[in-house]
Amino acid sequence: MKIEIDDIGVRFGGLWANRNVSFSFEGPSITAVIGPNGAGKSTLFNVMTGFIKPATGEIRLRGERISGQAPEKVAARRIGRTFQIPEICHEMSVRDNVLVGAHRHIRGNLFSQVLNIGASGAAEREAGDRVDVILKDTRLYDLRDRPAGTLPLGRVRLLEIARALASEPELLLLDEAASGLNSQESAELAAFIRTLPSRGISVLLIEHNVGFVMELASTVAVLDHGQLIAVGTPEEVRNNEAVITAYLGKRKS
Amino acid sequence: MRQIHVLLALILAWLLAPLLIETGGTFNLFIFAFINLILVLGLSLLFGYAGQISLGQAGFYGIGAYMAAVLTVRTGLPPVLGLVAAIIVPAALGYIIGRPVLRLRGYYLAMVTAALGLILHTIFVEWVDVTGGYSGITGIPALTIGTLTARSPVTMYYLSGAVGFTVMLLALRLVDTAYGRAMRTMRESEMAARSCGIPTARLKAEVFALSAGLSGLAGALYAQYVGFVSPESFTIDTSINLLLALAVGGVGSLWGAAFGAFLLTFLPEWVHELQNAYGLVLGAMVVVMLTLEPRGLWGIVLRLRDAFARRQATTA
Amino acid sequence: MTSAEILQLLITGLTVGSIYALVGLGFNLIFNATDVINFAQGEFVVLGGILTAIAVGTAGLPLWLAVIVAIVLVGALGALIDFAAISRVRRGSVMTLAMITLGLAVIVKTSLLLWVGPDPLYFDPFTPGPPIRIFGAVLQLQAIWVIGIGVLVMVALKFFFSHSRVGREMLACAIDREAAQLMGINVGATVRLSFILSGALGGLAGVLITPLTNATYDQGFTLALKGFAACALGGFGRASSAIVGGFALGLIEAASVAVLPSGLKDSVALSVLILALMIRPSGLLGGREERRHTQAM
Repeated sequence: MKIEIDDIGVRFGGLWANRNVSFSFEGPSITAVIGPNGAGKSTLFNVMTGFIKPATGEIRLRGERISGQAPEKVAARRIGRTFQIPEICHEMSVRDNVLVGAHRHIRGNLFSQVLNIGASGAAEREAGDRVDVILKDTRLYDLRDRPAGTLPLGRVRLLEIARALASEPELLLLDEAASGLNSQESAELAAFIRTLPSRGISVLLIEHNVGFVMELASTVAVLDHGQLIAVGTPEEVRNNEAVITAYLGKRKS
Repeated sequence: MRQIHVLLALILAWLLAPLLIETGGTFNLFIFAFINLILVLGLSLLFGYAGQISLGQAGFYGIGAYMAAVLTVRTGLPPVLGLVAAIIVPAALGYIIGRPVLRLRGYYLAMVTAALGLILHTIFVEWVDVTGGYSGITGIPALTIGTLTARSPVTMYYLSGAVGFTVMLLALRLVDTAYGRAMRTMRESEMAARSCGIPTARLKAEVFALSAGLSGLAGALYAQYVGFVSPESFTIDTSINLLLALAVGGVGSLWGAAFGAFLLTFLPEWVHELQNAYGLVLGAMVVVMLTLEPRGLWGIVLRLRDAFARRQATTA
Repeated sequence: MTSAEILQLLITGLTVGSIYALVGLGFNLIFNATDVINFAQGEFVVLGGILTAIAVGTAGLPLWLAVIVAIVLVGALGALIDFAAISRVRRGSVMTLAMITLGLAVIVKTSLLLWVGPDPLYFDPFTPGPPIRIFGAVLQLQAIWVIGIGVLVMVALKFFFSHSRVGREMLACAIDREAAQLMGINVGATVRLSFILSGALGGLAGVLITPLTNATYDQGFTLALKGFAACALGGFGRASSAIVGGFALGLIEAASVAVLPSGLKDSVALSVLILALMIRPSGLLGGREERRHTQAM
């Protein structure tokens, strides 16, 4: 699997939120996009998942353009995501929320599902089994019947990841997955994310917590003011002059 | 599942109730309650579960009633076909209209659906050749299935009840399927739904069509039982009352919707002495209820249940 | 169409349009302070007309006093609505608040039916006298009042929001309630004021049109819908857009009456609303982003 981000530009009013952003990575791997607040990271995610049409450039998955397509079409290309501000259904149970991720795999229409005819029942059971495994992996299994709105933020972030995993993604985009977590929770999350490439899932992370990604990612891209200022291994990025002045430098001082 | 037990108990009560009911008037009330149940359930699925408000339900209710009336009276088709057309035509129209209209949200959607309802009402009034204008259509034959004709209150009581309970059962089932989960997720976050591969534009139009079809079904049952339709049954007031009844019962709950439907039917009866005053009572109930508990009566039930569970937990 | 007919159409359109603009401005006042659409806005208008008619007819008050009484009473109703219901809602979204106003609309409407009955009420125009004839077109004296006071109110509101402290505080409340609170704005009082002003404005609209159209208990929702259409055509959140939208809607209606059966007048106007929103979902002139008011309950 190869993702190519090619000359992406996004303009809001007179401001370029992304400009000439180009980099690519191959999977299964863990890649990170870092940068200060307002650097255009979330915008790039929204372009990659179809919520924003770029003004310039395109994004290719296995050489085929996916930018400019509707989000649900992008999801069908096996790209899953989470949100910086979690977007879950509060009154639905944890398990039902995760099942929504498996939506594409549950065949049938309104009628076949309600009447439980055709392949709907079997597909629903299969999806349920798969979701239970994911719930155990993400340690949400014991909470599966709780209304999702009653979970603490750390669990909600895991719930969003579980939901994205239920869609069986090839590429998983995590938007600030560690923000709002305590150190133990983020260590657990990091350990879990590290297991994903071995299951054939590539991860693209957005973080402003630099320490968190430097441990995890094999490739790091750095955005500042909407532009890509560096891309490379964590080591290369750490020693990059532009990055140090734009971002890391500020932190060290 | 506890919901099923409640439903079975209600079905049993419904089957046995005629032993206690003596007057045709009471049967009438229950028949209208079941018709209202279908209407409010349709609105509950659309607004409470899929998050798309509608103030135009009376328009589709009316199309159903007029389909049943026109096809049987003017073209002589059997009533069953009238009933089927009364579901399909509003549903199809709902889908076609819903596709562009449901791009709007919130207040805009409320006002545009209200406008649609008013336009449909105008058509019922002005298209005199087909609808009979203000004088409406009389002599609509009763629904006949095989040898069973639902003209007498008792027969219609069982028929409308059977339809009402079936719709309730299917709706309860629907909200627990993948389809229902998609609706509920879409209500809270369209972004989340779309990122899970749910085509929200189509889903909205489908649920709109579903609720329009249910409204049409209710309209046909109404027309074929009463034997008469005229535009005054399908005004914006009808749409508003349906929404208010749902709000009192509880927007996010099918049981709340069922409660709202029965309230809507029996309230005018209870405040009989005041004639048109039931709007006063319904309006006041909405204001008081939503001020105290936005989830309506069902929200209060949930709160009592939680409080009860907590007390059990502390005593145990 | 002769030029006299076209002129007549313009006059009628402007008169009706002023009313829609006034209703729309009432919507805007509450919307600007609370993000809530007040579904009872049309009932404010009807109530203003009916109260004046009763004050003049039954109570025998002079017209000027009746008008003041009616406007004050409808403004007081606005205050009461906020005091008794809106300000007490602790949970729920703006949609919950909007549903409450829908319930209030039904209460007002039913009360009016029980009180004055289904027949239209009426009082004489502000200035007696035959209509003015301009190049063959007829201009009712009351229409001059409607347009004149309408324009006056619009200008005053525009000034209120752009130049007065209270007006700007009102806008701040809608944009970010918490921030407004932190800045020391008394949000509760500001919202209360917006309901009072909105009620008074609705009452004034009712007072102005009743001599032309009569006042019937059940006109409220259609008026509200037209007022909303005026706002939507113009784009929400700005006073000037309700005016442009109102006049546009009034002209469309007048044109429709000229060529189509008059029973279709409302449908034509509402079809235009629907089509306009299909083309530009945020209003023809643009407007504040609607995202925040999109959730269900």
